[in-house]
Amino acid sequence: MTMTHPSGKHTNAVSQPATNTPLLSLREVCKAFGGVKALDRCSFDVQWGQITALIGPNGAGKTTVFNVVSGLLNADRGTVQFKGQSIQRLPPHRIAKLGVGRTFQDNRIFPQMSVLDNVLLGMRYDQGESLTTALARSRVMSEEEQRHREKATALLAKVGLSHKADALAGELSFGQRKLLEVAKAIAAEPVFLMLDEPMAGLFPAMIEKMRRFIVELRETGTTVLFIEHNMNVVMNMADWVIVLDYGKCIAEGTPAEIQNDEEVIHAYLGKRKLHVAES
Amino acid sequence: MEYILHIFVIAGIYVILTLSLNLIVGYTGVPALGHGAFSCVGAYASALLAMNHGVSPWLGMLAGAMMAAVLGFGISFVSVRLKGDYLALATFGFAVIVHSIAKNWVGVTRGPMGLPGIPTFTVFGFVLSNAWSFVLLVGVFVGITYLVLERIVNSPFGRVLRAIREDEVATAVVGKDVQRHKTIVFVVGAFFAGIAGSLYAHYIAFIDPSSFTVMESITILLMVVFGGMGSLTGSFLGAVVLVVFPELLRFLGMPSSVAAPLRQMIYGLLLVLLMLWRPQGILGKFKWQ
Repeated sequence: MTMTHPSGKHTNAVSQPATNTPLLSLREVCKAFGGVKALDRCSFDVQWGQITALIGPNGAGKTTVFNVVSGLLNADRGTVQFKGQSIQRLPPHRIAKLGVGRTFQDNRIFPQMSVLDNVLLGMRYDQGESLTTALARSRVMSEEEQRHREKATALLAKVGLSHKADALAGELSFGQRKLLEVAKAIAAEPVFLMLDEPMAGLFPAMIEKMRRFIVELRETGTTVLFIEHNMNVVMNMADWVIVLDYGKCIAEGTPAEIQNDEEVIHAYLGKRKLHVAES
Repeated sequence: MEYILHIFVIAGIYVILTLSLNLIVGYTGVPALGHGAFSCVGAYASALLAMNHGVSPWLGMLAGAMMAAVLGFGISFVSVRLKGDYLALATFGFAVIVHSIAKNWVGVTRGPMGLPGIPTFTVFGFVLSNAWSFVLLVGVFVGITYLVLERIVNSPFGRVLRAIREDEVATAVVGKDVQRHKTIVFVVGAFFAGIAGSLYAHYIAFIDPSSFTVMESITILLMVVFGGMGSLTGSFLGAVVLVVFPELLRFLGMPSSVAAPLRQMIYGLLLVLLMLWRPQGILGKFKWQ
């Protein structure tokens, strides 16, 4: 069975290999900033094709996990494997080319470029982005550019930003920026997408839009790891939840299990019980 | 008339320098203050090859440009470790070093005495000696530089450069090799600066280290900023205005002892006013955040 990837590519619904290797695997990863241990022997796996939520109190090390996996930070110790191969010490662009996409909590779009250009920058070019094709102004370049433009336009339509394609990204509203950043990350058709608080600051209708979008990504075979504080969203959407506290993975399980885990409730919410709306 | 043609040639050379620095500073957002050093290398290499080894100035120009490009390649590695102000300072230091070498390596460069009698270009036995022929020659090279840079900046490759200017981290995580792009930009920029230096050497027929001081690099940067960072037409405007403008001061009948410092003061004042009112330059679109 095939499905249409949101960026227009037809992918197999399940693209995982026959083996049981997890897509992403962290083992005993440590990262300290001065005396602060952001990650302290943190270990967990992310399975192929799932939506995994990474939760934990502020300062638990969630964003540090993203930075270590995407190569912006090097772990002090421990191992990080993607598709069973070590990605430690690889520069960020190499990791991205292996199929790892990410967004940032603080919206790293390119504000002084057009919305369409932002998405085009996310696209993975074959030849068309090289200096030689630019100097030769070759057919290869213009054809690939044209192809990507069509894909980018389709992707913008998907996230509902078509009418803003030619506007500067800096002119977008907060919620639109979040959508654009996700569109930019998806443009490269990543195998694995890390979303840092994709719903934070969005109004309910926009949250629903984003939620549907992410669930749709799973259906096309993209594995998603997301950081979120909104427990309704986490419990609704995630297949698996990983809880970090003080840089350690203190619990993991299905949303239902996590909701009833004493240690999680204790560490994450104090003594109160999680309030999750029925839906 | 000769005088006006001379201004044309000098303005053209500065246009090449400004366009090529704009690629590095304006489009890619890498603060580089040592552009004069690249043209210094191009000028000396080309002049010395022609004078000491009888190499044709055309080949000398190519060799000089290549040497400048190699130097640009080297400098680009500094930009791996240093960012922003620190990189600006490092490239500034580089310009000082190149100038000092030209001044003190007397055995090769004759130091402050300079190199007189640099041979000029010949085309099919026709010697380019009058100002007219140089206007045409420089015009051709301005055209080549413009065409090459226009192709670079208006392409998917150029889009990556602009992305680097805005956010290096965000560019890296979408799979673009930021360092590779910076290296390419330094090499291309230095190459054209080398060509400009060589044109200057063979045109004036005399070079000495005072033509390639750090102030020279600052002037080129001022032209880029004035015309507009990330605007090729802006580079034409910036270079031409800042070359022609000081010449006009001559007609005010000022003695040169006053005119020269006045020129520097006006440059400085211009930069301050520009930063206050139009930080993106006359024709630029990009604003530093």
